[in-house]
Amino acid sequence: MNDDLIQPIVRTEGLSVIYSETRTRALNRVSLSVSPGEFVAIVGPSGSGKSTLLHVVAALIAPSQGDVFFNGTRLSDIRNKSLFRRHNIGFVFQDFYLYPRFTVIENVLLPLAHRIMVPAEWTAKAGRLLDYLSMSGKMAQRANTLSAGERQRVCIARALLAEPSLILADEPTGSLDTKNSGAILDILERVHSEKGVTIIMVTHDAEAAARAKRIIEIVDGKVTGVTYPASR
Amino acid sequence: MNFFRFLIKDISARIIRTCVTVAGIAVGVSVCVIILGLSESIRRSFQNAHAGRDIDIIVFEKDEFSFLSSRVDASLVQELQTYPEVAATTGILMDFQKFEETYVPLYGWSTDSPLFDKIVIREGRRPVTGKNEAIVGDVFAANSRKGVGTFVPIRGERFEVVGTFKSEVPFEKSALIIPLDVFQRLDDDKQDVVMTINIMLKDRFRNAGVVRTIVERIEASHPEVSAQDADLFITEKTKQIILGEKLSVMIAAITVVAVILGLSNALITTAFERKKLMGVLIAIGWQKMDVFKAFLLESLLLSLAGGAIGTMSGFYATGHIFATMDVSVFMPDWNRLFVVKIVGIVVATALAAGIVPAWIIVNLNPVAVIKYE
Repeated sequence: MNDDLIQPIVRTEGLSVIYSETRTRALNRVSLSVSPGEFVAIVGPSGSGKSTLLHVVAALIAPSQGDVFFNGTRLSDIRNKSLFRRHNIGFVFQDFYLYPRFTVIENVLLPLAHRIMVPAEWTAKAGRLLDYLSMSGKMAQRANTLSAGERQRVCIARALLAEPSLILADEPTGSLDTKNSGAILDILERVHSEKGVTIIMVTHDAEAAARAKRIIEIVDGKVTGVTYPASR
Repeated sequence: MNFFRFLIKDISARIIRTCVTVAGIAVGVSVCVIILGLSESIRRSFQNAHAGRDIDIIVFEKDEFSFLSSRVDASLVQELQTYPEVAATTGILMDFQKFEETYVPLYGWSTDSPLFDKIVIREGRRPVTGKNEAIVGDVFAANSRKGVGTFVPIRGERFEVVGTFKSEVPFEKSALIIPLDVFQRLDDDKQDVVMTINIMLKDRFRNAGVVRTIVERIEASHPEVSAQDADLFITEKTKQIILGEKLSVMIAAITVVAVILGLSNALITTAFERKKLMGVLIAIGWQKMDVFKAFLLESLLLSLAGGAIGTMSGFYATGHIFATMDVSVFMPDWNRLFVVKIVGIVVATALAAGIVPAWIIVNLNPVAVIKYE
């Protein structure tokens, strides 16, 4: 199939972000596209603009110049960006950001905790996700009693709850040891291959990046290279 | 997991700080309840002294500053009864009687006084003219354990308690009522006089115009007395009390401001401590309004908890203060309006204290708080 005929899930056109407080140009005319179901790693040195790119794609910050399209829709045209994120994007963080005194299942249900009532099917779904991530035995355990690897699994379950089409993972192995890093990357690969979820992962770790199908290198806010690990 | 469970768990995760914050609110609310409760109860005690008694006009000694020292010729009671507009008149005496460690109100009512129809005799009967008999208010009865068949000392004489009564008038709850003629005999300065005369008009004459006409008629024919519309009389006699109440309201308002600032400060501190988690909530799909609501509701929950504890302890403390007063006159008066006022203060405190931290947190840039670079 010709790739040009598939609508990218994410496309950026001449994307620039300038932080007004520091007058730093975090991204400089970045144009790229990510196809549905792709697993892309974004690498680069600290301060190169990798995370900024994730945040722009998640509509958490608006670009100073250029556009971002999600499934063909310009993000700046979306009025309710929280709702957009809730339905389309799952976030995996380096530091997990779990509520330490909440149980595992409560943390997974956190995206819905603003509701007066959470339907039972969502709780069941959270349970299934935890089972999928081999965490079903720890559902009632408090997050602060889990190991780092387990916490990241809970973070991934939380990201998957709304069945998003895109997972944005910001240094998902940054706080983990080698063994746990490998396990989390296995999980991300599994989620990608079994659920068909598109993953954009920011990482410093070359080994982690090598799990992706495509690696985009960003230096000083510019795309400086694209490699395809599988073809190397 | 739902919104309220989220809030409760989030608040209880910081249990020590939550307890300290709730305690601070409770102290503030308690102070408000005590200050407002004392002043309002005292004012209402005065204002209710004639409430529900259908009294239209009060006659008292002219130019007498305190109605307690007012002396009016008792024969005027019968004379005023002959006015065609008048349904009933009754003269009363009032003073204080030391009983054990406190002073209680002592009333002298004529035994056929219509005032007896306005109290509920719960046990026994009215006192009989000329006899050393008394009936006692239910609070007095409970506090002194005096019931029918017991005796109480009044002005050095022995009085038999022949009844206990319940009254809506706060002054009377802890009072003793004896026959008017006996009271006049007991005190040298009360021979053939009454303190005030209460006039009840016939229903068809109960309007401001008739009241004014009768007042003028009484004052013209008896220059030694003043007659006044009962409502006006109460208003004038409670001027100083109302002034005191206004001062109390001011003190309570300052307390509320202090509570608001304290609570707001605590919430701002926790807001900054939790800014990363709040930023994450926005990143995972919460709307800023959801986070805003969470902060306001947290403030409301803390305030309601503190408010409930403060209100209960305030009520208890107010009752205790009244109970330890030397003069057992005032009763805590907890009416619905007062409770609504306190709830209003608590809710307003919560909203005022929560709005600044909520505003701060929703205006944080979620990216700034969750990024690592």
